[in-house]
Amino acid sequence: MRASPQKNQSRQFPRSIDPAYKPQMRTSIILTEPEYLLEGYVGRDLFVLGEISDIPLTVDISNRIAILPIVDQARKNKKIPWRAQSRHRASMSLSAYNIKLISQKGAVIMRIPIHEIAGMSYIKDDDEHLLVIKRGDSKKEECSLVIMNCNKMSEAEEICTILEQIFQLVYTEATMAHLDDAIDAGAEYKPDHPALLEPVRERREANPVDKLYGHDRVEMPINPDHESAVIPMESAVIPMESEDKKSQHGDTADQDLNVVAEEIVQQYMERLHSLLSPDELMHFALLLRQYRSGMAINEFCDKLVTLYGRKRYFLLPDMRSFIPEEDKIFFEAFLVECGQGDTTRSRE
Amino acid sequence: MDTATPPMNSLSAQHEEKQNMSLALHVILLPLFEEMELQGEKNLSVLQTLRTAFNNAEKENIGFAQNFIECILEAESLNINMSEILLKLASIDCPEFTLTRTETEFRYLNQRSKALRTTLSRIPEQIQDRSRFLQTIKDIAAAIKDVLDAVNDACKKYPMLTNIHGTKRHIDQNKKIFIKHSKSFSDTLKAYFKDGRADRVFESANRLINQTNELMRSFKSA
Repeated sequence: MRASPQKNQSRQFPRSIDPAYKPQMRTSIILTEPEYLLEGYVGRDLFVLGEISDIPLTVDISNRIAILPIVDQARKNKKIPWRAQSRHRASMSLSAYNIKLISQKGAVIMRIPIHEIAGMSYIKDDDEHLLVIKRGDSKKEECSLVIMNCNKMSEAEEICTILEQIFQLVYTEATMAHLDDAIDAGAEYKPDHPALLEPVRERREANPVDKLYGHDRVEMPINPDHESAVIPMESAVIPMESEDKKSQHGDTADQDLNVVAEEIVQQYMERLHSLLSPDELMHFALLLRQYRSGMAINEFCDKLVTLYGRKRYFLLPDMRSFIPEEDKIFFEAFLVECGQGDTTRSRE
Repeated sequence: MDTATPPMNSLSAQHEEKQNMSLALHVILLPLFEEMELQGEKNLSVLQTLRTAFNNAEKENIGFAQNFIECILEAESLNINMSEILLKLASIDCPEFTLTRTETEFRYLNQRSKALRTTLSRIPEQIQDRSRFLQTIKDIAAAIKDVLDAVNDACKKYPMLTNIHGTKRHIDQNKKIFIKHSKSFSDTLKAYFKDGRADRVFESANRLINQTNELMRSFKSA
């Protein structure tokens, strides 16, 4: 323990010099009903210092020894200020959907969807009460750190607790949606034997894209904001990964894989057709085309969840068939953050 | 045909509710008699008489075994939550609800039924730990789907099961009730996350387990 020359340092900091010290979070700091965060938001004031990009994905934000040098280097490089000043004052709005950082003038400095947040930590560094949010980056092996400062430890801890409640709420909602979806999926009975009572459903032989657009080619009005205004049906389907592995000699196993992949896509399209409105279907097709044309995976995922909405998150896992190999790692992490990651189980 | 199979036209709500109470016989009393026999109980005829008597009493008055146990607990001034106890014992295998056919689809159905009961039985110890409980719910989701998939696979592979009109109706009815109880369990969980009433979760889980057993019994009697 060392004495601080600053007059407001008369209180003790019994373990702040201990690098292993992690402040103990008090439980029940706030009495906010978690469901409130679905309908409303909680606002808190703090200082937003900035965002540090291109950080290795493996960084442990709960480890002050790892984080503080990153912050120091960013300060040396003038990416973030050395001290919080009045111009850095902002308010943080927390809800079950995102964290929004708003400047004093009311401008949105940053909006961080909950599914992009890998974690938040509180690091006390002398008289600074730093909050660090680790969020996804456009590059798959890297992340960003959003650095903020609070006036007091209690304020920082309170924000961490609120976010923990949000995570719990979102994960609970996602888990219950997953349960409902599993029951519905198991209840869907597709008999193909004439002895069974349920009527045999006709196999849909049509091109899955037809189910998305109907039988007519869709022509969208030209809009300079879209990469492409017209979506020809033949280009709406992303080539399957299996097609890249298709043998030129027509290997049976690869052909079987192609058939399975095509069936998966077909089934997914049929499902979308029954769950999305016509406008949403067109939006989905446009989004898919933009992704194929070079949209970054994180932007694609962001827009996908906006399109589907929380109640349709169960549609996300089956999007795997549309994701090429190089983006799979990010997409799997994204699914976990949305509460739609795979549960490990064996069938034998 | 299994004589314990309830008549098909009596799957009313009241009968369904009463059926939930048969768990105590199958997971507490009958295993207890079996254990006594394995431990060398000399009066085997007495044990057999008791076994038969409780089976008959349960058939005539569903819930008799549970009432009997509750009276003993009350007499001993033991304040025990029966729903919680029955749920914890749900993974115990009962011959009455175990298929003996050796084909893959039926072995698979046995495995999936047991997996669901075992996963549900973890609820009492994990319900207070939100993270672990949510993971268990995800496991339950997978297990419910596995049971339904196994039921559908068995029916598709062996249409002879369902060729007899009465048997088919019985399996179909039990499957529908299983789905109904699964959805009811989901609703109970959502209510639990708001009101914290764990006892309702235990009761709902027990109803789902009981219906899983009834589904197995309908296959056994086919």
